[in-house]
Amino acid sequence: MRTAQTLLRMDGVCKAYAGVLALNHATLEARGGEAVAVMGANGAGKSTLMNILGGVVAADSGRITLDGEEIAIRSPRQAAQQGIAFVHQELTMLPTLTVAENIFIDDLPRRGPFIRSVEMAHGAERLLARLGCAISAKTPVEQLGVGDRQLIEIARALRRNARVIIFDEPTSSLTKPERQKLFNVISGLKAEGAVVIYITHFLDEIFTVCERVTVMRNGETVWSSLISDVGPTRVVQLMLGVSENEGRIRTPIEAIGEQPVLSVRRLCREGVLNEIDFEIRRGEIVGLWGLLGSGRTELLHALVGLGPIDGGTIEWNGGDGPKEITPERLRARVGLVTEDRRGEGVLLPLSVSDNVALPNLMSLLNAWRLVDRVRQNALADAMIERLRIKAADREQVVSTLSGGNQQKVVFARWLATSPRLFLLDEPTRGLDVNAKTEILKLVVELAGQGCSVLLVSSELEDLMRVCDRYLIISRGRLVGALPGSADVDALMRSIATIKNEYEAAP
Amino acid sequence: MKRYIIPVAAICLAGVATAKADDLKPLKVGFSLDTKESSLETAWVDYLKSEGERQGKVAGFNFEWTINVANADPTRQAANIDDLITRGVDVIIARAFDSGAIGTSIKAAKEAGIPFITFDRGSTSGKPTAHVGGDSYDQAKTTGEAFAEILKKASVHGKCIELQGMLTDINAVNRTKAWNEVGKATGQYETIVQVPTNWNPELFLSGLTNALNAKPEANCVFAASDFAFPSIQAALEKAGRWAPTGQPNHMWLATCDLLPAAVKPMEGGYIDVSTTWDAYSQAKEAVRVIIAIAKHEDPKCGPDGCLAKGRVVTPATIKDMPNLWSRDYK
Amino acid sequence: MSIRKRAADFLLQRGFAVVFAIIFIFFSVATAHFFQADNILNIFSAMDPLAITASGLALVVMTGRLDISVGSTAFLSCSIGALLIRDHGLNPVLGMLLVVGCGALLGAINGFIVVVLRVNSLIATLSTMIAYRGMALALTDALLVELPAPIRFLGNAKLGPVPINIPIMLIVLILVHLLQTKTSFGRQIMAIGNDVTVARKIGLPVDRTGFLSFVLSGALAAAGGVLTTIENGAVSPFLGDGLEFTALAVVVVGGVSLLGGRGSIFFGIIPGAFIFEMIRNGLTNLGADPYSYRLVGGAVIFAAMYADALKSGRYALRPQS
Repeated sequence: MRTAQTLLRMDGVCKAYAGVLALNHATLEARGGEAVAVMGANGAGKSTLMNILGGVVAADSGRITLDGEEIAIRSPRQAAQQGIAFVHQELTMLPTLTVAENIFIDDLPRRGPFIRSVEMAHGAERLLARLGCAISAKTPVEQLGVGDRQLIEIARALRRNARVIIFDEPTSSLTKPERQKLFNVISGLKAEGAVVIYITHFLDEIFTVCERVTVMRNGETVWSSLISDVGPTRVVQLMLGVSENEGRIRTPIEAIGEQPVLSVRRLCREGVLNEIDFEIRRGEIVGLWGLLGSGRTELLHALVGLGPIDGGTIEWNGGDGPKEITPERLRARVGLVTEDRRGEGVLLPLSVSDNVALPNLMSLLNAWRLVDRVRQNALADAMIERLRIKAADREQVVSTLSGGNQQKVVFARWLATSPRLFLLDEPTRGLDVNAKTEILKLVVELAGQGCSVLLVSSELEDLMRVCDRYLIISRGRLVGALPGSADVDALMRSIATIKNEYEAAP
Repeated sequence: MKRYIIPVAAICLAGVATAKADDLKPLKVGFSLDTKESSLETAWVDYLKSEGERQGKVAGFNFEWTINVANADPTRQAANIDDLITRGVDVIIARAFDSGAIGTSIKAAKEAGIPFITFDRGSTSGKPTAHVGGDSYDQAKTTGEAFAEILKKASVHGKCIELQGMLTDINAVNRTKAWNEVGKATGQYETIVQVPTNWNPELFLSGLTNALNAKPEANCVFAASDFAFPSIQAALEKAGRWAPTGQPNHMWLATCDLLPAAVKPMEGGYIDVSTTWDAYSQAKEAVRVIIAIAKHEDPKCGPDGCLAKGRVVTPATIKDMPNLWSRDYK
Repeated sequence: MSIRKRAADFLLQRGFAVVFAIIFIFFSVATAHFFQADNILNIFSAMDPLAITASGLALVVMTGRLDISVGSTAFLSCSIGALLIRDHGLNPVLGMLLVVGCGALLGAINGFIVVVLRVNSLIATLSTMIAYRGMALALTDALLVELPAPIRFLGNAKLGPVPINIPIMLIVLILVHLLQTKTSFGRQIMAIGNDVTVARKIGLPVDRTGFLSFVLSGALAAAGGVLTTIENGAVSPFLGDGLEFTALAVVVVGGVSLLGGRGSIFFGIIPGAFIFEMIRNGLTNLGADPYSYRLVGGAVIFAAMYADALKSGRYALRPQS
């Protein structure tokens, strides 16, 4: 390794979207020959910061210096000219073009009007050789796997002697050997003196790959140091912050002796979910606690058939003893509320009344098999009152309601079907403090009436206000369980325990 | 531009045809034209007027014409016909732009007690008092018969390429039927290959070229219409068969319609025979039917209407044939 | 790989060639005059306008869009040129250049509507297809516009035994082929056809390339129209009528995927256009029932589309690792 000299500095970078501050005087420092991990929860600002560095978006203010010189980056092309390369999480491959064409597509070498194919192929093979990869430059990319495609993506980034290379979640779709190959490539880049910026949700990887770590939270840089100065627990604490304790809405109950409503045994999906075993009892609120990318959303989706499963059983107790059930049929029996209110939850242009009635039309039919208006209105009014939905009346169009009230409409739709189990995926996402409390109170109320709840949230403080116990998920595996009385430290530690699967790169 | 000036001019022109009307009963006739884009329509208007004067005198009528043009717009045509009804004309004759839409106007006229004659293009949406049009079956029949005569005189047995029209068009179907019936009846010629053209000149060219290649023994061509004659000529030129009658590499040629594009080639002796799509005969027939209706007589139309027959024209007769619109109107 | 799978793969990859060969051999054996140098030249000569138009359309299809206004573009451009030559004594050579320029302009209008106004290309070119044809019918009064006889003699000109339009077509197609395979513009067309969002992310001039593909499509459609006009010696109201669909069929039969990003100009369009003209020619040689032409043409298009769907499906299903 060469002597580490500061290469890249970003200082006082600010960026606001529609008045909301996404970055607040964020800083980043990275040195040649080192990899720096940029960590942060969802919405912490790391993507915005990287997009500014990559020229995808423009900063409102702040300076970027590279090798001591202040630089201006207004487009991806300018970033590339400055030697900054961005390897996006989603690959930007053009499948029917050849490897060489994919690498050179944005600046094909030409003689007169024509492309110099031979020179281009040699250039491509040289670049790929540097990455320890021996694909023929004339192969169409569609014949290659994801790992190879990613190497081509990197080769494209390296084409212009990149001094800074940003990797945005590069391992999320790679197999283990492909990941190892990538780490070797990164080591090679470091050895050549480049700055590597590494973004990931996988804690274990940064301790394998990176020399430094920078943690962001709420648009600010809250920590920068050598990786050896921190442990995984500390990183998680920095990412999530110390929650101001709002106080529990209800003390944890222990639902011992109650019948399990749902029992899951050995649920698997290749590469995503691994031997998932758990059960949920009547009236329980169970928190599913894990970092983004840990498989928590995938688990919820797999339970209700929105994602495939390769094996395992699900048992459902609808009041007449436990019976095996398929995810598709389970879907009709549980209430599913997701963060994506607009996408899956409500029909924005329709009224509150119509939205509530929609999943329940069969129960609203009159003697002529038509929807009975009076009964529909009664149902809507009942739900508005029960959930304290703040709407002018039942005919108000849902798109004009606040986020919290829209979310309540989603609940209302399900409540009318009286489900015994709710699966909640980030139900409080994007809501203000009061609306959050309202939703969480509603969850507790439901549990009090005998519903069971499986709750996913990125915000630990939300979970800690309502959960009776926690399931800990990491890399698609349930790695532990904690009682509802567990404190912040215990929860942080639980997801920061990592199994080091990788040898340190040579 | 032309199409916007013409309707104005046509309406200005409309009016009294003759002044010496002492002993003649006035007969107000409204003529609704769908478009006035080609010389065919101009010829119709002129022939209708002159025939009206001639036949009217004999029958004791003084024709007063009101003519309007709809610029290929069915709504406009309906409004035009309403105008004619309001003016209180005695008979309406109309060339429909849309066979399916003209029925409404027919109904309106009948309700006002005005007889309605469809001209050239019939109605599919309501029965008019009478229909006057060209007789496409007779056209191909007379062409075929005259052609058989010509071949007989030259002691040639015809092996013909038939260029068919669009087979969803009743005229095209009639012509292929009549042509082949005459061939069988006379035994003087046979169709050795049929080429579909969809009335598309490109297909006249490529189809005839292919056919000439496939059947080098072919010595005659029948074209269901000669509107695209330049394409036929191009194909014959390519095959080295473009020569006037009397030369050894002459291709015997029979066509229907004798449209403007075919006049010169016939004068030059390249086309041996054609039966006209006869604006003059059609106008003559229309005036006859108008007079019959005005006299409350039966115009004695056939099942397909009163169909005007075309006239057979050959290189020998083309110069002197009277009232030949495709030669006289440019 | 099992023999069955190998056979299936072979048919998918080479299915077109197999069908082509079967039809060709059938006509050669069944008719006396099909397999003759003169007749083959005939087919090549007759397919020229179609092939040139299809090559322009293929550029648009390769970007994943459609241009169904090509027939009307050819008609309107040629009408303008023919009227100026006939009524205003415009020099025919200048007239031809004017027609091609006119086609480029009409293509630019399509490009503007699709790229700048962001209208779906099928809808945009459907509306211009109707509008361009309407304008041309108004200009020509829906009548045949005959050109001076010397122009048609040009259409019959030959290089030795070969009609002059065949080398013209070959040169045009080779140029378009080189443009598509050997220039940045051509590769960018393929990149857009692969995935327009990705192409944009990489920083390719997506809008400019898309726009230019329409301009070229318009210009080449007009060039095809010029050949038709010269051969027929006239512009008829039927010029380019239904050409958009035949050309699209040629493009697809020639292996250019409607999804974009896949296909070859020279090695796709020439056999594609040839097979269509060959069927028409062969059926005439057979003396077949006139009603059968559409049936056979439809069957060939269906077979090509089905193969395209299968192929695309197969690539999409291929495991990614």
